[in-house]
Amino acid sequence: MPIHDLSYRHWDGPLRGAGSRWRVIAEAGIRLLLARRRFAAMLMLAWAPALVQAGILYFALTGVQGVDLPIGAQFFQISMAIQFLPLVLVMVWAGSGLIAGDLAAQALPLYFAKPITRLDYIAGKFGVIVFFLLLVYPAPPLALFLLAAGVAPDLTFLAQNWWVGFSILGYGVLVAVIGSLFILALSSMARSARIASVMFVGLVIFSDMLANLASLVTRSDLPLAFSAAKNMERLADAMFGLPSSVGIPWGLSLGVGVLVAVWSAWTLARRIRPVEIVS
Amino acid sequence: MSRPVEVSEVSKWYGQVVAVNGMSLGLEPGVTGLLGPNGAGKSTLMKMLTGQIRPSRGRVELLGHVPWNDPDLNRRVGYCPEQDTFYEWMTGRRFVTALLGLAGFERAEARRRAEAALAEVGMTEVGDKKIGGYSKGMRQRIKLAQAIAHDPEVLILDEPVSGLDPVGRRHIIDLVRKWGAQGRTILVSTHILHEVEAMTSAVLLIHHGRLLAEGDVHEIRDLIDEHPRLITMVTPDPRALAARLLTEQDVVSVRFERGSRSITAETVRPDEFYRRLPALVLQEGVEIEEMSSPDDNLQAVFDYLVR
Repeated sequence: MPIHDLSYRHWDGPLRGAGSRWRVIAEAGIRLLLARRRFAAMLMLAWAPALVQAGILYFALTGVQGVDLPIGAQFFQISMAIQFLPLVLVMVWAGSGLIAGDLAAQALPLYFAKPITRLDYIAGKFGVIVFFLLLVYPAPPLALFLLAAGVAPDLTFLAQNWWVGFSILGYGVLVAVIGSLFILALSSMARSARIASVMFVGLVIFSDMLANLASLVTRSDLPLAFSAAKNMERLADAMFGLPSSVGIPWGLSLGVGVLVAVWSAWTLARRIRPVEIVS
Repeated sequence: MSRPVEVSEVSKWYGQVVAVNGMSLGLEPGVTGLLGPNGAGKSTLMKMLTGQIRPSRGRVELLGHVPWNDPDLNRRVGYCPEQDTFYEWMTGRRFVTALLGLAGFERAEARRRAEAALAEVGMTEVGDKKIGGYSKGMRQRIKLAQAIAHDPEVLILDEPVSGLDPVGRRHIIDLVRKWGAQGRTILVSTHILHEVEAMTSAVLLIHHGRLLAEGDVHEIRDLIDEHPRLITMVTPDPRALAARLLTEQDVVSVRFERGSRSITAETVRPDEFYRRLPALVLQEGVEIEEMSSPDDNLQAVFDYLVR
């Protein structure tokens, strides 16, 4: 009679490497959000303005229907400005609950009892939100740019505007990265997506109101550096090579953005711990 | 060969609060019970073992590695946390599969293992129900499923049977015993002593962050010989027996049980007490119908040791 060994035998099959641990979290988060029908519908709606613009762009570049509209940096900057609403919606809808949900479910001890690091966890969550932000913010204008390059009758459009593609990508990635870190930091400070959303919307609106008020009182544009919206506008103008109505140096706006990113990263590093220490 | 779990002079403090204080212990393969009241430092010790928190002092080793900052070690460790609030909207099957993904398994293998783990804990049929609809027992079992699904060598189970009905408790106790018999090293914490007695005789008693006693239940039992012990006796005349017992120097108290004919005596020299009893019955005609010691329960051992 064969006697079988019932003692512990470790799995020696293939396992994912350390480098792809964050991807598991990102993929799961993306799949989960895409499975929500309302969110998926919102993502599709976010592309609706780009479809309308695509029609305008096509007629303008091919010269049919008598549409006479200059297609250049300003057109694409306006396209990005239109995407601001979907950007905010995605940040609130998808980003605010990414960490708050885990904190509410006390899931962090479970995560960190698996072979993942804090950096894997943060990178995974970052992957989720940055994916959707890129999808709704720079992707539609970038698609428009590629369409323009494709339908233009000659190479004049590309020769004159080749750098605009990089502007869209650079500005879009910058906003998506800073925005992702910021909403994740807020999410890590709350145990409810709703609270994180209120904090986010409140900070964006409040900072803008406060900055405008301070600018009026001091009769200076410098306080506008406290406004998230104004800093974004200033940076967009600089990256698209357009004159700006916001009277602050673009370097200052970039500095504010970097500061927000650093604060967010610091907050995440401080808040994301497997064990909550109650003092 | 060193033991799978070694803890040497480990302390952990949060500010001025000491959670674990100079603790040293080692675990052999099999089931070991970690006993202590709430706040004794059980969960802190377990979190140090799983690398979730870093000891303030001392050294923790799991399978020859320091668990802090070594997430790869978690491939060989299963952890069942105490809390049972999870993703309420997630199904049990998806919960286990997702956590297997985090452990590094590809999707197909994760699904296969999740099925096996669900079957192991008897959750196959309710695997597609949302966790929010689970009973306390189901939640405990789904936690155990995720802890065992990646086939770990070491299992750290924090209060796995708390709040369960007798049937559920029996099921989980049987599972833990089975896993222990497979050669895994299992540390099970509880503050209910009869639960751990049903799983193992190897116990660690901790209190106020210190290791109070370790070893077999009987070894611990020997340690308390110097401590007072309770002995309950049923007699037709409890008052007469109480009066007689109180004349002995080793008897420090006698308590009457309301509405019954039994009394409970507390002695500081149990051997002497037991030696004297036959003489009391035979020579002095004291009637004792029944006699038992509540100390047979591990709870009493614990009470004595922390007193």
